[in-house]
Amino acid sequence: MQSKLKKYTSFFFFCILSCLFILPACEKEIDLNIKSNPNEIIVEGHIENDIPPYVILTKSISLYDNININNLENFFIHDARIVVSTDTDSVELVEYNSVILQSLPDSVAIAIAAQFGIQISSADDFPEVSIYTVPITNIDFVGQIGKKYDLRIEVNNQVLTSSTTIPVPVFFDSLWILPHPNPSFADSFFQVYGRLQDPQSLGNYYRYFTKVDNDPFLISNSSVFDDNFFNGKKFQIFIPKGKPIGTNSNDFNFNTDGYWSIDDSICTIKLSQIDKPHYDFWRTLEANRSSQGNPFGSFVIVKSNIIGGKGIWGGYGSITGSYVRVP
Amino acid sequence: MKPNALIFLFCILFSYSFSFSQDEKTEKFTLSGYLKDAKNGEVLIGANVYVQGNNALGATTNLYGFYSLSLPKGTYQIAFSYLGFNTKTQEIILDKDIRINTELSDDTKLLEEVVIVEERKDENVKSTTMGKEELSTDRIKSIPAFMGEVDIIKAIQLLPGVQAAGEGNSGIYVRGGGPDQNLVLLDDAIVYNTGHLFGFFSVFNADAVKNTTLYKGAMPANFGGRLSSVIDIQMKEGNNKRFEMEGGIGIISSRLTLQAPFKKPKSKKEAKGSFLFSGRRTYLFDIAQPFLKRTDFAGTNYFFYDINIKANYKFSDKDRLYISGYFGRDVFVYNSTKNQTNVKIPWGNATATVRYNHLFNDKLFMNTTFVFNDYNFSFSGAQLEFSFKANSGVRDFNTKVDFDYYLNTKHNLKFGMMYTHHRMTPTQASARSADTDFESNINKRYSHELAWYVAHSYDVNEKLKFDFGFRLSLFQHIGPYSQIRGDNIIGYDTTVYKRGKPIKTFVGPEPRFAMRYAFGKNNSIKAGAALNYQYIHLVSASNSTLPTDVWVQSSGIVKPQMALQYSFGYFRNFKDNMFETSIEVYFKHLWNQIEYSESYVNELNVDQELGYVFGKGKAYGAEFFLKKRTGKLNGWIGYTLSRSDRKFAELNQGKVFVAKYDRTHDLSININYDINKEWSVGATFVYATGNSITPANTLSIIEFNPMIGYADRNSYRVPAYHRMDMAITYTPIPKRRPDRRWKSSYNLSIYNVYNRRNTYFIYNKIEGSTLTGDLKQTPINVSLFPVIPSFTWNFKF
Repeated sequence: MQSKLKKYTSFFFFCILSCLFILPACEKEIDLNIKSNPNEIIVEGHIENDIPPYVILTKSISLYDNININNLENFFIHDARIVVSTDTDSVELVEYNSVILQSLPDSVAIAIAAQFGIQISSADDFPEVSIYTVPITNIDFVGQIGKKYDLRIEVNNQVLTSSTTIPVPVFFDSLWILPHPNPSFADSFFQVYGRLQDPQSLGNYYRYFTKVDNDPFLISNSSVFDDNFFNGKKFQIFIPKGKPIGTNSNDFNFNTDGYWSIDDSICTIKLSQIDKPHYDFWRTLEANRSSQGNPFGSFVIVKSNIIGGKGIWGGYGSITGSYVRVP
Repeated sequence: MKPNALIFLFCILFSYSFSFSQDEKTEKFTLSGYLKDAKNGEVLIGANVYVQGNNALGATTNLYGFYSLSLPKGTYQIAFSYLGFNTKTQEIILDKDIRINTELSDDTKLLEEVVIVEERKDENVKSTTMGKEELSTDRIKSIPAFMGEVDIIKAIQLLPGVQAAGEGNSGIYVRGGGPDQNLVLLDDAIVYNTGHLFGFFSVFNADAVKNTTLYKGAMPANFGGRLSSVIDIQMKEGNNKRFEMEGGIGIISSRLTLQAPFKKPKSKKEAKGSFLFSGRRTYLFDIAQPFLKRTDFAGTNYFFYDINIKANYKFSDKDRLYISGYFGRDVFVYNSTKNQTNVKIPWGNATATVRYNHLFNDKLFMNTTFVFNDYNFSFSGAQLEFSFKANSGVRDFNTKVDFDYYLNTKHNLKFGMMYTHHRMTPTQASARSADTDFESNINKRYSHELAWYVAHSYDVNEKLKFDFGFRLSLFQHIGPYSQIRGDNIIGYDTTVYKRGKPIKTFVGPEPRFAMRYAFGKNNSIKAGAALNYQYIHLVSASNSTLPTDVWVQSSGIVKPQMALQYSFGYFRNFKDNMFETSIEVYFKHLWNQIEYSESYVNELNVDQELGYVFGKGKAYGAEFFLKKRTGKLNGWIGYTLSRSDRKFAELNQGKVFVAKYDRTHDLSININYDINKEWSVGATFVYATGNSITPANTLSIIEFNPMIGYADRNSYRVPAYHRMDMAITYTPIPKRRPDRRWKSSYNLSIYNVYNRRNTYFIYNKIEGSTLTGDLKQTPINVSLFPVIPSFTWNFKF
């Protein structure tokens, strides 16, 4: 529902401007001479029920510094000491770089890549990334519902800390499909709906992922919502299909975005409960991305729960379910 | 209240008691009456009545054309003058109180008996007022118009100290203040949203407007509730001599105005009452309707319209009633039959004003006003089983009573009080998805706003004049209201307030002061200071305001905004008052300024005030103004050098940053040249330092998608804005019957003559991805309006 609302509002501004000013607006590439602050430490770390924690550590680069931008390796920070702990237990994560990842059996490499939304066909295709996760010896350290997880990172003489929780998950009572509302697209696309019973207490925050068949889980432009508007209600919700990584969030097609393709046979949805700081991170990050190029919008600085750095240490309480289409 | 504000208040009260100790004992009589336009009976606002040969003995007409002048017993040559009209003089033997209603004419042929004498044209130098500009609609109509739409607000933007909010935008920033800090009044009714189509056009139809006054300095005590300026717009009353019709057909809209007396008056007398009806509607998209009819988008449209009505009735020489109203809407409709989607978005203002003037005696004038105003934005959309509605707005009931007490030639008093009941509707949304209904539970806010004021104008002698003013304002947030605060960790706490129950009260003492010292033949220096409180606010994330922006009131979280302004000026006229010049400097302290937090994202059903952060600001500058009032070539040059900055603990890491209202340089030139009686040309040129924006400067990746970091707030200036517009107007005079009532005029306006591609906004285009190794980002400069010619045909009967 939230994504539909966003569609409407952005569409409203777009229509009025483009319709009325038939006179073409002029776009011109320019040079901006702006100082930047590169080399900030960016944390992307998660822990989910039944899945080990992982952290990707990157650094920011200057926006217009095209020298390094297309070498993914330039983003990653190596040799960090990262510890994830609960009240009773702790684990030091180890770094798996692309050399190690590319040496894994294909099936393992494909599964790990899918966890990050990356689709590869063999281990050799694993991109130049570096991931910190549990050592093979401690593979049982997985997220548990209701627990709090602390994070401590020591790197380049800096210490970064954070903490997150894994809330109790909820899932749709049922999933079903409907044809595309526009008959001329109904032969190629359909919609997925779910019915959700929001818990009675206010303050539930959701993030959802979608997956087609055996592809990776993907997110859409608007992947989080809260229960401010429908606390405690049972309602049906349109579940837009996620977009492949690297899709520009401003490339928006009103007729096809969010709709599922007629070729998709298993439609899998993962619905995660997240805590408020985790929700705030995604909410502000999605606004940060969509404010690019919106003359009416204002810039949004992404809220972070990392002390001493930027990014997110977020827990997911997830349940996964599928709608299987009968051909 | 801040300590320097207290010192200021003390100084004012001290000088005030001093002024009352001076009084005169000679026997005096009062000359009073109304000044009107001979052509249509409209009252003349701000016209001068004075003793010929002694400019210091004079009075100025008020908003209703009334003047009162008390003089010692004697015989006087009294002059009645108004800019653009012939001055009339009359010998008066003042041995008793006398009432004289006078009509002035702008046509020499009609009033041959009138002796043309030297006008009192030095109001610029002789008044105490600073930062006040009056613009007649006729003058505004000579300015080249964007798409042929004569625009009062855009004319005001050409004055020094006033900056345009953006390309083609009718939003204004006055002396470094925000767009919500301007009090815009149409016949005493607050207009909350002054723009159509995101502010590209203003809501004021120039055909219905008589007079516009801008106060940007120390505003008089009868105005309040805003920090930066007052734009006081008076509608025409309606011709009370004969039926009159005027209108125009332009490229995007047409206008029609009808005026007439209620009952045709006998001979040259005026009728007891008259009315005016004026309407304007755009039709740019209506033209496309036949083409859309057979498409998927049948019914999709956008238009706006304005309706102004006014009527007045004179019960007696002492009692007069005015009723006026405005109704305007922007309407956007989107239909897509294929997608089974329809969206309708109407928004606009409605105002109604009832005013009753009563003259108790020759010295005491009273005006009682009742105002209703409403601004509403609504949105409704549906697709299949899903439907959504949202609305927001402001509704006020206001009443006020104002007295003008003309004690004598040295002392004038104005006093009065006002009360407003506000109802603020935050964005309230409801939705229906299949058989489930959703309703947002953000409360409407209710409040009382009260103010009492007294203003005393004291002419010490020909050189020295003081204006003292004091306004006491009170604001109270009242129930019904229920407040939910907390989160899911600490829990939620709800407090419920019953209807009318006070929740939060603010009191604001607002002293005002102005003085003038005249010297030499045509020189004066002036000084002014004012402390203002503002209780309702509009915070916008964009450069200008949008129809979706919501007015909020002061509350337990949002404190009233405050501003203390000092200004000084040197005024000098040249060449027998043909040229007016002035230099004004100002300094403003601003407290409790409001911005959105840096991570603010608009969310349904979340109190907007929870997204605000608060800070303080400074604005200072110098304004240079040169105006040529008369002659075939007339116009003005205004230049402002200024700075406006802000400091917020929670923005820009607590460091000072320039406000988005900051323009270092701002130059406006407006020239009009009457080639002959039929042809005239006009041109404007504007140059302003570019807007300050917060540029994106760093890139990081999260989930292999970009996350953008930003440089210091407002640390980048877009290229300077400059533009020239020109207009040529042809008003043919029929050779056979030059006095024919039917008159046509043809106007060709060219916006952006040399096709300057000014920056509308800059965005960062991101293409590709790091994952595929083709990530590319490019800063893109977007400009909106190229050279745009427009043609308008105007007629008058």
